Amino acid sequence: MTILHSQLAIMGTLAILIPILIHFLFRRRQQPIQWGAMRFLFAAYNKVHKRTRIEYIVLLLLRCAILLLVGLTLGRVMLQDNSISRFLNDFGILSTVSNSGAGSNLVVIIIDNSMCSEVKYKNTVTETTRAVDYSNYPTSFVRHMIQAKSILQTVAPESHVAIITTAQPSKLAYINNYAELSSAEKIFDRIHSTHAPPDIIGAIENLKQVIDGSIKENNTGSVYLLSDFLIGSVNTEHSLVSLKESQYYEQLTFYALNPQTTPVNNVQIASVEPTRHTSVYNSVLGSGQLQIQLRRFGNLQDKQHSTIRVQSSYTLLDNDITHTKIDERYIIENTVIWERGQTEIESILQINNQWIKHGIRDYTAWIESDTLDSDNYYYFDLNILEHINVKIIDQQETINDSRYIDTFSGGSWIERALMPDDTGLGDFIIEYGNPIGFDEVDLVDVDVLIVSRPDLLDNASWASIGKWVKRGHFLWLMPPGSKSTAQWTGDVNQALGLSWVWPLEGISVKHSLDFKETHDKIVNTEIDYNKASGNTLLTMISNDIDDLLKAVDLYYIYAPIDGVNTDSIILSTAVSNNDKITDTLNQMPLLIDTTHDSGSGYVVYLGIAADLNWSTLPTSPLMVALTQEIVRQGLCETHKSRIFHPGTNIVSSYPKESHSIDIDGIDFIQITYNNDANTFSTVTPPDTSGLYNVRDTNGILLESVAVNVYADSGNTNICSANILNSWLNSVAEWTWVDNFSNIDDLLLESNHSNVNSEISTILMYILGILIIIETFFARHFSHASISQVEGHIGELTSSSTRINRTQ
Amino acid sequence: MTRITDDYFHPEMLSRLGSFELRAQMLIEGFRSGMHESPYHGVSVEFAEHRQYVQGDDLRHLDWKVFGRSDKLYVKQFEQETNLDVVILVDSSASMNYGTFTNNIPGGSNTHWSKYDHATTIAAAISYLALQQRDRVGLVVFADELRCIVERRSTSGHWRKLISALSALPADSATSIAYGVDQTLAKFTNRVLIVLISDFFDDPSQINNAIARIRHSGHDLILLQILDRQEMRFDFRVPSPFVDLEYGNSIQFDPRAIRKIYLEEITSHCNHLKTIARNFGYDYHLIDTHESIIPILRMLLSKRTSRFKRGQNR
Repeated sequence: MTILHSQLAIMGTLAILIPILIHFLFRRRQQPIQWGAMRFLFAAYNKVHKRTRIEYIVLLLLRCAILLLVGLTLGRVMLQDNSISRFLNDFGILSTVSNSGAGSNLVVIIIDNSMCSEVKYKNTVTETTRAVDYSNYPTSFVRHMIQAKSILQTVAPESHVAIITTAQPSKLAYINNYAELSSAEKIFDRIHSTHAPPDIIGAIENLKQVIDGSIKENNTGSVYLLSDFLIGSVNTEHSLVSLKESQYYEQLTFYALNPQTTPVNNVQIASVEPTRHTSVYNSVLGSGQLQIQLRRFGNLQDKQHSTIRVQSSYTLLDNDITHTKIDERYIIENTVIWERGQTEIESILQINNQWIKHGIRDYTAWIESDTLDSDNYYYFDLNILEHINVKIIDQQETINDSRYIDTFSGGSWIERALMPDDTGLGDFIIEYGNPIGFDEVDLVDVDVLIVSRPDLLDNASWASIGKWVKRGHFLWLMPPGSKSTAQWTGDVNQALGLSWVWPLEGISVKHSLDFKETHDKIVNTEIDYNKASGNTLLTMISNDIDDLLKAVDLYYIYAPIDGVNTDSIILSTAVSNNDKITDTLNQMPLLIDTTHDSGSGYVVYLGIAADLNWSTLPTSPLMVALTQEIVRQGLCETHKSRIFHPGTNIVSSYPKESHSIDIDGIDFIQITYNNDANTFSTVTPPDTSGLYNVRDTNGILLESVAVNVYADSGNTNICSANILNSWLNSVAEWTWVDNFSNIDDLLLESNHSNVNSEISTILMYILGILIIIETFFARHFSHASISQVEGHIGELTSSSTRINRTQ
Repeated sequence: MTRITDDYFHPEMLSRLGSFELRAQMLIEGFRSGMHESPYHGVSVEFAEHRQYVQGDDLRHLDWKVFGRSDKLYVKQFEQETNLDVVILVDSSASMNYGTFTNNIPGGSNTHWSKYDHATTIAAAISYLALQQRDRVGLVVFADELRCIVERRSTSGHWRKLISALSALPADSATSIAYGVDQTLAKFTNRVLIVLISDFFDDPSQINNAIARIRHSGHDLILLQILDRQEMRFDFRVPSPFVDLEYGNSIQFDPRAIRKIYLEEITSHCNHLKTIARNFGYDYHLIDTHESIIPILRMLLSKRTSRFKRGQNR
């Protein structure tokens, strides 16, 4: 038995106290009556007091029962299906609840709250192609919530209700013994549409978990799947768990809304890729570009234009009068025209940081509002430096108490490459470090550390450098030329966290070298420019590198090895393919990097020594381009804005010392530390896109994290009915309906005849009977006999002479 | 037909009179002023009828004038009344102190009118009337024992003694009618008219025995049962504790639940009392303290006269 409106029932139950209280209050407050004819009272009392007491109890119970029944009747008591209710139902005494959800012991509502559920559209194609203000249209999610609530209206008490969301990660809310709508509405109030991709797989797994845990023999269940089934809201490429093998599958009914048949126009920013994440203030080379990828879905027949705007979050300098401003912020924009049938378009925007103060700057790229706003925004950040401070560790000679660098040392060649015009002006500030006693103090305010004589550093120095690198800095290593490398210690690898071992000596290269990109050129040279997946170190010069390499001759390569025995050097396995940037044709690694993750530093190793053989200027211009690009882009790697997606945990790999990290903008977020991976991650992933700052316990900004939507989640094209049917039917046989507002009719057609019945009607009958009985008793019980025995007075006084006074 | 003067003798008016003596006088004067239409007269002076002389009649009663005119012997017959001894027994037990009639005097204190007030007023009125007719009047006030005895006298100052005795407050004790009657009978040897005024909240068998002894002694008896209207109606509605005036016992119950049986009980008691009186040939009257006293006085006088005639005829 369940009560629909338990509050009313509780009030009715508490009302039982009223007659009881009245009884006790009347007993307590009365003054005693002095009475003469006591002998008759005693006689009467002895005759009636037992009966009176019983009558009192009967009346009290009757009145309590009446109040209780009033409460239960108003509270709408429901009987679950059982023999009693069936028996009563056969006689037409029970009023069967005429809705449907009431017929199920389990009601599961799967509601789509992934990014595509935020689509706002009308069903006419023409309207979506024009510039329409969509802000007044309800989202698909809102409409589904209305449907879901209409389903809940019909759910019988004591049913189990589960609400499953499909946004990644799929969440499950379970209400055991559903009593009233308000409890479910509280859960509904917490559900909102997200920017996360769909997770139908997780939703079906949650469904399976609910079914396995809730359905028992003779129980029934109804499952409602509320989605528009646009391509972005399903994962048809993934297989789903089948429920058909479930023991109670036959007791379940599956309903799904008919998929949308009209495609929805939607333009999105698929990606924004800055060529330089870190650049130099007021520098031509340091500005970089933004490569913005747009995609279009829906009706592709019409021409359409999209205006891309990029805005920084900081305020412009006061003297900036040349740039477009919105709210005093720096705006760049570009308009692209979509041709008929065009689905993708790329736009390049030039970032001019001439007027930008240095520091980490947040940017937002967006396009105008359309049917789906969530994918109209893309977030990223750029790091603007005033200068790039480079420290080079090379051998120094002391002459007359002054230290000098050998003109032909590796460090000199690097300096010359970074500052080729000898003016002292440029993006770099170069400083030499003494390898003797080099420690952490020497690394203050250093952006890039270049070690051209690693053989001169001791273990303590390497430990200091390793600590510095792991705090998110960039280290460029190179061998000491023809000099012996035997002095290098194995501790270096441990200090820097390297996966490879230093070479002991150079390997002779007998052929001239020619850098090539493997992915677009036939490799016929001995050195292959192998652009590793995701590595952007040499991307900016990839088009020019062939010409640059023509004048270069190399004689020795100091390739990393996996052992120290030169007799059995195995070069091919020393460095993983992921770490290789370039290698020779016989797979000797030439340029490698070690650590990509931001927060744990970046180490690049160049397998050739900077020497006169290949770095002479101006005859060998490769040195300038290669060195500057390694330094600039290597620095970008350590300050690269990392992209996460809604529904995915943010992971940060800062050292354990900063183990308590606050992430701005996510007030509910919790952080866990993974000891094995030395990473922090959020426990609850963010479900909306935006920029999040990771700070340490002192509030110092460690990194900026951008959370951007999955572009594919904004695919508003309609899903093929066949594909969708076959995909969902792998789970169960679904009944497709237009909406659930006529859910009563829907469930009457269901074969499940299991009924829950409301016994309010029978309670009302009983209540009426009890009221009649109470009225009868109240009139005829001895305590109510005043009017009845009036005649005794007349009879008693008849013998006396009565005076009828007349005035 | 009811007269307006009766209103003056309603408890509502009598209760306003603070002086008991004044109360009784007013009652009697009012009563007398209404007697001019009464067919009953004094006995010693009134001629009644003639009858034919039979042997053995007293020759002194022959009407010689009639004999002279008609030569027939007729005896002159007079309605002659001998003086009557009236003894009034008033129950002053604690139960007589009950009364619900309250006269709300504007600007003054409320006056409580108990059964005892009613009984003593009736007793005073009867004694006054009797003294006016040269009857000798005695008074016994009793409860569980005799509290006061006033010897029979017919003097004009005797009434004040009676009033003084009646002015005493009722006792706290219970009723013992049998004891009161027994003690009273022991003091009278000649035939008297006993007026027993009580609520008769006593054992009916004891009452029966007491009346039987009165009958055996040859006395005449009038039973006046004084009950408060509330005792006859019992229309309490709120459960309350009831405390016995005589014994102090108390019980709590819902009066609505017990009313029916109570009324049956008290009705049965009154009927039983009435039956006893009837069986012994005595008069019984139930008097409501909320009703006027005049009718009962009138009725008593009527009874007295008729009884006197009956006694004379015998």
